[in-house]
Amino acid sequence: MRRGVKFDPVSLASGVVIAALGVLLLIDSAGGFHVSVGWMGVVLTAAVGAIFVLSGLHRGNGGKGP
Amino acid sequence: MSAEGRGGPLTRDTRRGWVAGVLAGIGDRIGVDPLVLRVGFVIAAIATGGLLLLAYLIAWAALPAEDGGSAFVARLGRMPRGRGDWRVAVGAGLLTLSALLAFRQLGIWWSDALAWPLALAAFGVALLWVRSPRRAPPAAERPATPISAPPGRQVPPRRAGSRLAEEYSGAFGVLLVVGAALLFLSSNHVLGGIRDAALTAVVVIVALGLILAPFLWRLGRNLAAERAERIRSEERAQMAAHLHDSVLQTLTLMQKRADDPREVASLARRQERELRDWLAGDGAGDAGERTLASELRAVAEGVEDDHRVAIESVVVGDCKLDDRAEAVLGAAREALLNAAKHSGDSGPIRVYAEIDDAGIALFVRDRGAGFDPEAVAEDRRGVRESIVGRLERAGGHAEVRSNPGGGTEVAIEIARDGAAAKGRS
Repeated sequence: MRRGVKFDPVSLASGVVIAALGVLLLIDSAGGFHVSVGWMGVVLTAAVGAIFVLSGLHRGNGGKGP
Repeated sequence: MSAEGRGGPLTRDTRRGWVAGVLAGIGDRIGVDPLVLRVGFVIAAIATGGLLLLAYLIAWAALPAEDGGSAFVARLGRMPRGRGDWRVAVGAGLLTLSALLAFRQLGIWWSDALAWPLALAAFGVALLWVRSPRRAPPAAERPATPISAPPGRQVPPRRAGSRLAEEYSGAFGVLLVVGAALLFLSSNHVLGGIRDAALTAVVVIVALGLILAPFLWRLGRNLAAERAERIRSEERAQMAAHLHDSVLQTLTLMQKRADDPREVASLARRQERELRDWLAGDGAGDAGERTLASELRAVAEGVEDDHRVAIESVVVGDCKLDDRAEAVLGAAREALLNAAKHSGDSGPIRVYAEIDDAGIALFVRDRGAGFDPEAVAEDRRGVRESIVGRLERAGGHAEVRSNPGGGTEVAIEIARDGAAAKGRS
């Protein structure tokens, strides 16, 4: 019997964060605006940090995590 | 302005707040209109180059909400320790680093010589703080407490991996703080001056260590051997004292009462129980929370001592002594008393209890003369009220199975989650 797909909020939020990063890099490559190395560091650390916090809080609250 | 401030701890007023309710909470606390505080905050934030924004964020994280929501920091502190902990710590560190980098990009920055050492030191202190031992949790429900536990049963030790990880996280915190101090000194060009002195000191210490190494090595080994011998000696003395106080005294009593087999058997069983408890490390001082397993053990011991009968008990699982467990305990006491009074010398009375999240099942069996339950007079209310009625009032079920010459079994079942007890065979 086929089991239903379980909703995983951490994976979803992580995907959204990474997709947003991809869009940012795409616009940068297309010349829409220029993202400096300094700001790229800010965005990358914030994205990775947010994913870690989401994952940790989800596990801490009893979730099984991704 | 408000008429007056209120007492109590400072909280965030999320209902009247514009962002996180910090200024509204402060205004409510000191009796000043939050609008005045907001205007002052904006002016001060501009004057300090945005530094006050950081203070606002810290206040938001540290202050609990007025509607009962706890502070973010407090929620993180209450998180159960587990695999999620390090993720939150790493994530919070990266988010803080990102905020610092953003401030640096925006020009809201003191200097690299101050900010980075401060950030490093903050991470190090946070790691050390998390690693510091918390208050011991209250006595939790025990997974299984056999009344007649086999000797030598020990609590499994904590995994070596978790201990190692804790040690390393603490050492990493210390390294971060030391690194922050060194970075601060180096950034301010103070380190160069003391570098030569530190190098000299290190060389002298290493040379002294090499000279004294054989002596220190032997001293350390001697001290360790002496300590091990002292511990062994103390354990031998403790065991000898216990044997003298309990076993030898009991043997003397048994010799004096050798003409009474039941008394001798009772003394032997009492001594056996005490020795098992002592070997399992479950002796005196175990005066924690009352649980069903511990109370069942006390009841069985009491009936054994009072009626000079042997009771063999096995309890799997444990739970707090709530109303339902009290009902089971009372019924078990009555069943044991009946068995002790009427089973005679037909062998030991057996108690088996199984306690889990779903419910409690308890059986008391004896091989006595038995009786016909249908023939019990209506005015005899011992079994009917103290066992069956007591369980039914508590939402459970009790059944007395007996026939003349075939012994008696009392089966008690009750659900723990409020549902009606399901019949089990």
